[in-house]
Amino acid sequence: MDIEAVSQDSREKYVFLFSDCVPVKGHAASAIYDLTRGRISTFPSEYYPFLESIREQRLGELLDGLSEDDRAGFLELLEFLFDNEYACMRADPGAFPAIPSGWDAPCVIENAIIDVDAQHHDYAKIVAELDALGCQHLQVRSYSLLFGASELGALARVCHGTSIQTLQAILVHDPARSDDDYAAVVRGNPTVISLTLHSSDEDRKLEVDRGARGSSAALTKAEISFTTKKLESCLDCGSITVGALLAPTTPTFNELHHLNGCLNRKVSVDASGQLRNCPAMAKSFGRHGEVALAEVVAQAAFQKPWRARKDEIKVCQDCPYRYACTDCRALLEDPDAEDSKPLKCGYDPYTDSWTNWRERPNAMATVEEYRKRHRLAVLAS
Amino acid sequence: MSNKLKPLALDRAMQEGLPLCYRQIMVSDEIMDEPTMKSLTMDFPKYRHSSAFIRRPRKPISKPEL
Repeated sequence: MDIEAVSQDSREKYVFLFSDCVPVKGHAASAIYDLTRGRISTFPSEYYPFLESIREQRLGELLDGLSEDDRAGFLELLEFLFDNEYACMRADPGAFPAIPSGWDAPCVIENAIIDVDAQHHDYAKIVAELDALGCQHLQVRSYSLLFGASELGALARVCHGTSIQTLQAILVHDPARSDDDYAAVVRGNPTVISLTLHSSDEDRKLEVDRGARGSSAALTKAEISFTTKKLESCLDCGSITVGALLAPTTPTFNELHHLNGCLNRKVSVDASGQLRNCPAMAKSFGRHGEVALAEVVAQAAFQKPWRARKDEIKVCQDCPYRYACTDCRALLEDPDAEDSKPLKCGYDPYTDSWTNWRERPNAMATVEEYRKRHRLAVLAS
Repeated sequence: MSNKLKPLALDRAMQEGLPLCYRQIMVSDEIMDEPTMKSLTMDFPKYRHSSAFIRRPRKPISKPEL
């Protein structure tokens, strides 16, 4: 594209950033979220002020007011916007209103976690209570062989006919079970959309065909992942990597803009039966079976972490990926500060670089501190 | 050869559970050459217009270190 020619031909027009291409300002790098294509592009934050100027001035006025250096930078940004189809020239950009930024879901609780280790829970009661709250997605995570393939099948049957649409499982690999055993549970229960087997003897994947033909087959097939890594407790969670960032969509962008990406409308039953926002969070709201789930989730104290916005979290508020990151409020870099960034995030918005979070000073000491607190909580329950 | 349109053979379509629009509806031998036949015959698979609703959570429920 000859950007010089375009800029001369369109002096009377506005550079219009499409409504579904939303700029997000970060410290060193800023981003444009393409909510329709589900991608994020980043660029140096020095260019960000130009994105604010283009809303207010026609291109000609804008170019005339720039120094030679700024003009070159601005044209470079324009080229980037046009090449990626984030913007176009419009005489009247007011004809394209912004996409409403509200978010809501037709349920009190949208997703839930059940952790299992040394004891079973009353799964039928949990599912019945989640059903009453309209819960759509359930994840069960097991740290011992107590909850295996048979139990997963039984849980899936309990979920049948309830509000729960998807069931994800992360279980310990049982060497006494064959691949066919696991595949049979997944194949026979369409609610089970993913199964990960940790503590396995090798890293591999197993595709489960659910009998659909043609293009539908790719959509309906399920995958069982075997991994040699071991999940020891709820503290082995909260990992934020590039791969864990969400491909942005309008609903997720709006939700993460206003609410916490992980805890919003979530409830958890930890391995000892305590009800928490997340199994790794310190505060318990009582033991399942002794208190009603509906009463717990209605409490203001329970709903407070739902509104832990990234814009109010230190360091995260300067991150260009903050509306694509599902955060972690359980394991923090500073365990005593509620607004601390997640412990297991390796991104530094001040240098725009990803590193291994474990190599950060004090990171492993903080992990050990959380382990101590967790052991005490288990003993107390 | 006849200019009359043949009566629609609905029975077979009905027996197969296909909506009527899935069948060729104009069959006059005089005007039906091979290319016309091809262009007018809509040989849709039975479930072509069905849509599969694939249930997936919008975001990860947890982020285990696996």
